[in-house]
Parts: sequence; structure tokens; C-alpha cells
Amino acid sequence: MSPVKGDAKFTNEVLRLAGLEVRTCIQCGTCSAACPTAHLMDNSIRRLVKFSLEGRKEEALASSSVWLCTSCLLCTVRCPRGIRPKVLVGALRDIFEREGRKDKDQAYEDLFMRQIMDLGRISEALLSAEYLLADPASAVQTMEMGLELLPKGKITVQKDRIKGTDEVKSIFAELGKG
Amino acid sequence: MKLAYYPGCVSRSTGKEMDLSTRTVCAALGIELEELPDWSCCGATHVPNEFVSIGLAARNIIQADLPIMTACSICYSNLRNAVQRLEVPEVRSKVNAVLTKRYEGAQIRHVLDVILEVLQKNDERLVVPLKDLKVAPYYGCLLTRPVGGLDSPEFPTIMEKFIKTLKAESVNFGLKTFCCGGPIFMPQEKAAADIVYRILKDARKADAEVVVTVCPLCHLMLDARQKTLEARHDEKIGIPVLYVTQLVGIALGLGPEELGLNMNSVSPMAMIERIYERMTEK
Amino acid sequence: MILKEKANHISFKDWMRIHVQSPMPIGVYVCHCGLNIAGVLNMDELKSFSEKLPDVVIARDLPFSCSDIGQEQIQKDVADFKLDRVVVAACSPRLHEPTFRRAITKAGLNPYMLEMANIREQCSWVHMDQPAMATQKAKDLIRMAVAKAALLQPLESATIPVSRDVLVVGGGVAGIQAALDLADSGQHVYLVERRPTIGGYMALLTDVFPTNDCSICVLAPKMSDVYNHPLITLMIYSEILGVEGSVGNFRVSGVKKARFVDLKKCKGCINECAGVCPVEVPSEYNFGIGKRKAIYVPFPQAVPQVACVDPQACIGCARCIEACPADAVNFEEKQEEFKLTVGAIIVATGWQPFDATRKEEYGFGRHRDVITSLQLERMLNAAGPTRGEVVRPSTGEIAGSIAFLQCVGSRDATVGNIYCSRICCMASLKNAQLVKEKYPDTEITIHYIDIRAGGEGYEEFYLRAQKLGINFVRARVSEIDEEDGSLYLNFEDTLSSSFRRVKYDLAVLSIGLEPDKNAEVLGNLLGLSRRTDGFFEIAHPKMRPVEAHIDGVFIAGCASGPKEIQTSIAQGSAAAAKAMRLLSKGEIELEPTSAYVDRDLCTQCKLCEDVCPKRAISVKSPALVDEAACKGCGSCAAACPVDAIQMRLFSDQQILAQIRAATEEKSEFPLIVAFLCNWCSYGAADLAGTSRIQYPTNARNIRVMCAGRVDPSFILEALQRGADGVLVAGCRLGECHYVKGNYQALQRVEVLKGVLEKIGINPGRVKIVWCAASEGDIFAKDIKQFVQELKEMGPIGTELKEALPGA
Repeated sequence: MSPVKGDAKFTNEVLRLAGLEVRTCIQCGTCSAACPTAHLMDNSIRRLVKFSLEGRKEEALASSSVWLCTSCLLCTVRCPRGIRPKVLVGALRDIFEREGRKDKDQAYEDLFMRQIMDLGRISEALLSAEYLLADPASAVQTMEMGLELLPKGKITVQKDRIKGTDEVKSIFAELGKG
Repeated sequence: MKLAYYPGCVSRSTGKEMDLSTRTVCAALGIELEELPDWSCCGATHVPNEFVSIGLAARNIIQADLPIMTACSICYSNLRNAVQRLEVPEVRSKVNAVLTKRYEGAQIRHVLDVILEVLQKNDERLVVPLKDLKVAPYYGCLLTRPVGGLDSPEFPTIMEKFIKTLKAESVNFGLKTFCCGGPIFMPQEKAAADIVYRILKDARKADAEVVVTVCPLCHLMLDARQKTLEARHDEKIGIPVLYVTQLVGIALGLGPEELGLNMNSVSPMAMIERIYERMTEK
Repeated sequence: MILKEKANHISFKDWMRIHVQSPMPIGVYVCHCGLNIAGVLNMDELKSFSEKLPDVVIARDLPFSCSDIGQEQIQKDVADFKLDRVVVAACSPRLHEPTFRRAITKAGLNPYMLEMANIREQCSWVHMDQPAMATQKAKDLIRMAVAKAALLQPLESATIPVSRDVLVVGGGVAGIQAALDLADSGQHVYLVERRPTIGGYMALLTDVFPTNDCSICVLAPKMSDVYNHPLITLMIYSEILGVEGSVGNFRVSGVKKARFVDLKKCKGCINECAGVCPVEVPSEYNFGIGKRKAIYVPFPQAVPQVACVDPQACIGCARCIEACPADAVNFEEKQEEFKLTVGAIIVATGWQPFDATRKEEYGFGRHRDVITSLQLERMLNAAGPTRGEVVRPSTGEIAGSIAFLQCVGSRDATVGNIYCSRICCMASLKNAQLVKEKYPDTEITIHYIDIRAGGEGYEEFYLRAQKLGINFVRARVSEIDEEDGSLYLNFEDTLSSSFRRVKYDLAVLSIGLEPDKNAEVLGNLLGLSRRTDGFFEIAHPKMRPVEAHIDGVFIAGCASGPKEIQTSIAQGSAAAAKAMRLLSKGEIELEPTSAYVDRDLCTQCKLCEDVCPKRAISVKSPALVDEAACKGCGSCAAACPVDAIQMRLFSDQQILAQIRAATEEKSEFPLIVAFLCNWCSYGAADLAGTSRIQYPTNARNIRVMCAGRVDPSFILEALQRGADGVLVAGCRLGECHYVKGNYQALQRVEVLKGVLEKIGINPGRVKIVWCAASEGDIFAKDIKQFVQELKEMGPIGTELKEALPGA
């Protein structure tokens, strides 16, 4: 990958998904300093914006930050240019997934969306169980949570499917097109 | 008052008490709820493509003719974001091309805002004054975000107003809008736990007897994870975490079962006893 | 007998022309312009064509019509043939219309009895390869000019006496400078100031950049000059409530608020009265960090040096009345109304500081040690509330570490201010230097996005701050939080990609400049436009920096956007010079281009009021045009649903005559009737000519003052008479010389297109385009493209035949 001439196709796809206003970024750092998980990230949100605009696709998609966003929207509330960095992170995740790239963080999101497509709704118990297969390391917190919630009657494993799954599927298929 | 009700996926699992207390309190206050007939998931924070996310929200919105109420801040934020984005003509036509019924605008409300409006008109139903009860209002992120909603996204005060209406006292809570870390609980359990611990310690420091929340994920992190945190830090925290609907239910004199208080991990029963003690002291 | 005899060799029409004097004899002069025109067009053909046109009694071709010889020939013909109107087919009227107007005036004609056909810039120079078609186009253009000439009316340009007095609104540094320059030149000035003192914000600042001289020390002499100048009537503590009339004669009314202290009696000793006043309120002149009494002098150097009672704060105890040795306090004083007549108005209403509480994440108003840059100015001021000490408001101790936060309320879409406030970088550099010089051990950091130090001596000033040891961090601070009584700044140092949470004693928010809300009333009274940033818009962003869109109104200083002191002073002087130039003769000449109303036809619908950019028309049973204010754009005439409004130049009848003449003989396909606005697209068409950009010959151009003049009925007339397409060309959107005429044109064309579609005419036959006067190439391209589109559509009516086969 060349730092001089980046991947313009990638830049354009990010702009399509996250809005043309991303181009107006002035790299002021307001978003990253507002981010509650910035201290866990390899590349700050600000740098993800820069990578995206420069077409530095591999650096952007390989950043741990892509999967550390909590969607708290504080970046979006504060951006002085009206950019929505949270949506930009979403765009990167979407590109990552559509290219068939795999990662344990991506696996959770993938299972989540697949469940919406299948049933229309989320069953958290089912989701956690399926995720265990993708990331066995999550077993500890899953078990802890399960033990806590089971006696309270808050774990339901029954599947119920909504009527409009076709509509939901077409929302994913049509609106999620590249 | 009659509203469409969007319960959200957690109403059937980790947020059962949120749904239960919402229905009970609304019934007690004469707010008629009509559940959306075939509601689907709003996508929460796990649908990265915003167009899809808007589409999922819009699919729910078009099922109602009435203003839509939800008790979950995540659903609330997603529905509101969709309404805002659907004002962009290209987005609207793109989404309408996929839906079975045309989207033509909507009003989205959070249960907190609905209850506050009803109580501010008439607070006679508040039979159990929560006098001297020190409450930490925990907003989390999404009640007031994106901007343009019911309060400031930086320094909201609507929960303080709500607490005051219940005759309780809100404590000065510095981390009231600090993200709970819930969405990274699975991949980064340790990091998320550190955040939750900070928030609970801050509430303790402010002398709060109870934390109130408006979001099932915040609730899960603060309430269901509390015991694990206590064990990990070898330290008793023991602060009950209630949904706003549960707290108002107590003030309305409703029973623990109806409010799902038995489903909370940290039991609020001792706190409720104190409320009644203070009431009889008078 | 004679009739029969003559009929043998000439037509009856020609016989009539020679023997019966035409009621409006027209002379036509076709100019060779050396070979510029004659090298392409067939001059003989044009001459003989012109001779045969109705009412033409003489047609000549002249080698150079603008030369002395050419002009003399025209003047001679006027006398010999008793011409009462003249058509010159030559270059662009934008070039030589004044020349020929002067020439026919000398011959005794009214200057407005001239019409020009532009056969050079818009014909011979742009169709060099098609001489035959170009000659045909030139014939049409001459026919159109002659048709219009027949309908010309003599017009008199009126001269009106004007008041030479000038009203300056706002007593900040820009208004002070304007008032002094005018008064020193001998013009009488009314200076109206809303507050009880003049001086504006400059009077409250400490030292000012880039020289760090004391602000009040340089301003105070000017304030005092204003107060003592025999030609300045200072109307302090007063507001404007009404403005009527127009350039030369504005009738202004207002009110002088009750001060409750006699201006003449008060000696400004203030300690006597304020000493006994029991009421304390935050001082607005110290931006809330100091206090003042209910009876007060705004600040020590205020002009006039006279106390003032704040009626909101005063409890009416009357102790000040007893204490005043001069017997100056008078609670019975009432506000007074005033009326003025002035020739010009200078708006110098200034700015207001951004309300820092709106940036909630910075905690201004919650955390006591977060202050604004203006509060720091007052602290640093030796006459300010802390006597020059920079202290933490929470403890009163000298601040050991200070953070400056730039761009608070500027360059920030979240508060709706995307503009740069232009002075804050320099102000923070200056304040940091002042603090550092006073307290060398203080740790100072400026958090910035970009340091903007563009100005004479500004970069050197930045350098000086760096050398003094002031720290610079490239970060926009995300949040200030407070823990255990200390402030913490949260930011990402973007140059090292590191997250920081740093403790400071004092945080200074560099707040931006916003348009003054108090000036809204005046802006509405005068009809001033506002830019999207809310500041008053000037007539041209480069070329007319102190003129408003309204004649006789000038804008100086921060009323038209944030600017530093030196620029505000320069604008004050510039506005004064503009006002002098306007009023120095005591009279102004009005161009007779205005609209007028047929009062019997007017239905008082008020559409004209809405479209008029100059607020020159008002519907007062019925509509009335203020001819001094009207600039003749014609938008009202186009908007009037009953055609009650007519233009003296470019009348409906004249334009319709041009349209009919253009379509009389369909000399080519597709035939386009093109309406070009005088300022931009007509200029662009001329530029295409001077640049020799070649394009098809199909357009027959009609000059109008503004695209907003084009009445939909003109377009319909052209299509009905067989034009295949109609082009409306205006200035680029946002650049209209009459502010919004092109938007109105756009709206009308859009509506008309809908109508055309309904009746089965292809709406593509009407095209609206925008080009600046500098865009000759774009004009040429637009014509080429439109010709192509019309070729594909076929001649007008093709679509109707297709729709009704067999009909």
C-alpha cells in the first residue's frame, strides 16, 4: 500500500456510507478525546477518519478501534464539522464484513445480524451460546452472566419468529448493498 | 393518553422488569399502550450499515399511527436517528423503495418523558413520597443522543427533574453521562468492567442510595455485573439499580411483583423499607 | 396622379416613406468597425435591409460610428431628416451606449431615444466562419432594435435635493472613526449609541495586538473628540425605532432612554451616589466578574463621564438623590422620542460575544475557574475588577497554570457558527504574552486547531509568544471536568496522537464573535440582507466592502463580520468617504430607470413588495414606487399579476416588440429567443465576443436588467410566435445584483415549465442558465448545448403533432 496514492474506491465507499461531510474533517481530535474507549485503541477515531480519506484501507480495517466503538455518539455530538464518526466506524465494519473478512469481534456482529434476518428479533441467550463457539474465551463472562440471570427468570431460549421476516431480509439485502 | 408501544428485544429476556414495570406504571397513570403488532429488532448497536439500521427502525415505525413510546434508550436513539435521517429525501426514497408501506414521518417518545409529562400535570397519584431518598441519575449515552432530542446531549437534567417530581433528591453525579461500556462487554470484558466499576464508585462517593437508569444495557452492566465486580475488587458495593419506571412505581405505591423488583440482581428491598420508615417517621 | 406615376418604379410603402413624414422618423447606422464587423457581415445587405424597415427614414453604413466623423454624421441626419430616434448597430451597448447618448443629446434629442443592436460582440466576433448566417442574425437584431426604438419614450433624469447629515449607528471604534472623519470634513453627524457610554468593546480591552499598546489609551482621545466635536450630535443611550424614506432623505425616529441623571449637572464623581447605593449587581462591563451599583458609571474611562441609573436594579430608595452634591439625579426623567432626517446611514452596530454556556462540555457557569477571554481582558486591565491580577475565581489566588481553548463558538457546526472569528488566535497570543510577562513562572498552554496569524506583524507576534515559552498544543479540547476542585482538560494531542487529561488552575475560553442581536431591529427597518452566518451582507464581497444593498446605507466594522480593530477603523473611514461622496453636492441624480404603477390597475396584492430587493415599492392603497430607491430591475413588473407595474426603460411593450421582431421571419432552425441579464450573462456574451469564442448563430438576444424581469408572458409570446426555444440567462445563484432576482426567475420558469407540460409543449424548450460576466466560455457552451437539444426536439409544435396524429 502506497501512502502517496491510496485506494480511492475504498475512500468513496466510506463516503457513500458515512456521508460526504467526512471530507471536511480538520483532524482536531475532538472525537477521539471524547471517546470513552479511546485508551484501548491502537488508532484513534481521528486517525480512522484520516486513513479513510487517504485510502489507507488496510491500516483502517486492521485497527482494533473499529471494534471498540460503543456507539455512545459523543463524537458525533461534539464534532465541529458535523461529521458522524460513529457512522464512519460502522462503514468500516460494513466494508470489513462485506469483504468476507473474519475476526472474533466481527463474528458477534455477524451472528447478531443473522439472527435478526432469521427471526426478526434477538434472543440474547441464543446469541451468547452461538458466540461461545466463535470466541471460547468469552465463556467466563457468559457463564457468570448466565448464572446471575437464570434464577431471575431473565433467560429465555424460546425462538419466536415475526411474520415480516421477508421484509427484514429485503431491508438487509437492498439497503446493505455495496 | 394513548400511545403505540415498542417493547424491544430485551423485554423478553434481560430487560423483563423494564417491560413489566413500564406496562404496570403506564396502566396506573392511565396511559394506554398499543403494542406494535409485528415489531422487529431495531438493530441495537450491531448493524453497522446505517441504511440498514434506518430501514429496520422504519419497518417498526410504519406499523403505528400513534406516537411511538419505548422504554429502551437504544431503541429510542435508533428510532429517533431514523426519523432524523429520513428527512433527507434521498434516504427516504431509498428506504421507502424497500418497505411494504411508505414511511411518512413519526413521533418517537421515551417512557421517561411520557411519565414526567403526566406527573407534572397531576402528581396526586404519588402516594409514597420518596423523601430524602438520594438518587443517582444515570443517563448513559443514548437517551439524549443524537442531538435534537428531549434534553441536552452533554449535560442533561431531565432525570433530576423527574427525581424531584418524586420528592426524592438527586445527587451530584459526575459520571452521569459516561458510557457504561456495555457494547464491548463481550470482546473486552475487562475494559468494560473497569468502566462500570468507576461509575458505581462515583455513585457511592456521591452518597447515592440507588442508581436509576433508562437503558437495559446500562442496567445489565451496573446491576447484573455488580456481584462479579464486588468479588473481583473484594469490596461491597451493594447499590440497587432501578429502571426509572420501577422507581416511579414505588412512589405510586405499586407492589414489588408488578414492578419486577424481584428480578433485580441487587435487591432494592432494604431501600424500599427505608422509604416506608421515613414516611412513618413523619 | 402623382400616385400612379410613382407607382411605376417604387412601391406604395416606399413612396409613403419619402413623401409622408413618418410620425417617428428613425435613423439606422450600421457600423463597419473597420473590419471587425465588415470583415464578416455583408454591410450592403444590412444597409438596404435597414432602409426598408418601418419608420426608418435614413440608413447608413459608417466605417467607425463612434469616431467624431461618425457622430457628426448622426447629428447632421437628426437635423436634416428631423429624426426623433436613432438605432446604432455596432458594438455592445455596455461599451458605447453612453457615447451615442451624448452624441444625440448634442443634436437636441433626449438621450434615451437611442437603441443599439449588438452586431459585434454578439454576432460578427462569435460567428466568424458563418458570414451568411451571421448577416441574417444581424438583420434580425437590427429589426428588433428598430421595433424597440419605435416605442422609446423620452425620459428625464431627476435631481433631488438631499440632506447632507449622516446618521452613524453604533459608538464602537468603527462608528467613532466614521463620525470623526465625516465631522472633520464638515458634515454633520448624529451618532446614536444604545449604551450609556461610547467606546464599544475596544474600550474594555486591555493591551491590544500586535503592538501591545493600551487599548483605552489610544481610543480615549477619539471618544473625547466625538463628545466635544461641534458637528457631532452624540445621542447616547438611544435606540432607532423607525426608518422611512430612501437615499438622500431617510426619516429616522428613535427614543432616548431615561438615564435618571442630568447629563449637564453630573460631574462624574460617582463615589458620592454609588457609595450610598445599597444594590449590587454583576457588571456587564466586566462580563460578570465584577460588580456595580444600581447607579453607576460603566467603566472609569466612559464617555460621557456621567452616572446612569439601572431601572431594573434600582429599588427606589433615593439615597443617591440626597447624596449627589450637584443635584443631578432625577427619578422623574422620562424617555424622549426624537426624529431626524439624514442623507445616509452608517451601520456600525458591532458584535456580541458567543455565550460560552452553550458549550456545556466546557462547564462555563458550572466550574468557576473556567472563564471567557473577555473576562480575562478585564482581569488584565489595570482598571478592571481585579486591578490587573489574573486570579482563580474559586480561590482568589493567582493562577499558576492557565489553559487557553481556541475556537469556542467559532468554526463549530454544533452551535451553528461555522465561520472563523478571525481575532481570537491573536487575542490569545496577546493575552498569553501579557500573563507571561507579568508572571514569568505561570505555565501557559494554548490549545488550537490552526493558529491564524495572517496580518502585518502577526506571524512575528506568534513567534514572540513561542520564544516567551508559551506552550502550543494542537488539539481542540473535548471536555473540561472538575475533580476535587481542580479543572482537568481532556484532549488528544493530535501531533503526537496521545490522549491527555491535564490539570490547570484556570481555563480561558476564547469565545467567538456573533452578530449583535440588538442590531436585528435596525437591520429589519433598513431591509439589510444577512449572510448565512447572520452578519449583515455587503453589496459585493470584494469590490464594495462597506456598502449595503440599500442605496445610502453603509456598513462598517464587525456588523458585517468579525474583524480586528485596525480593519474596523479602516472601514469606518471608508464608509465615511462613501457617504461624503454621495452627499457632498447636496443633491443626487436619479437614473430614470424606475418602475411605475398604473394606480387604476393595482389590486393591492402585495406580490411586488415581496419581490423588491430594494424595498422601493410599498402597497399603500395602491402600490407606490419610491423612485429614488428603485434600481429598475423589473422583478416587480414580472411579478405583477395584472400588469399594473411598468418599467420606464425595458417596458413590456418594448420587450414584446423585440420578441415579435425576432420571430417575424423564422430565419433559421432552431430559433432561440434569449433573455440576458445586463450584469452577468449579457457581459458573458460580450466576453465570448472579445475572446472570439465561436458558437452557433441561433440566439436572438434581448437585454434585460435582471433575469427577474422576464415575465412568463414574454416566454409564451416567443413560443407562440414560433421560437423553437427560449433561454433565460442570469447571474450565478447567490450573485444577483438585485440579491434574489435570479431565484425569482428560476421559480417562475419552473412554474411555467409545468404549465407547458400540461398543454403538451416540451418544457425543455425553456432553459434557464447562470453565468458570471467572466464566463464567456460557459455562455457559448450553453448556447451550443441548447441548440443541440432543440435540434433533437424538432421545430416548435412537433410534439403537438406527435400527440395528435392526423390532426
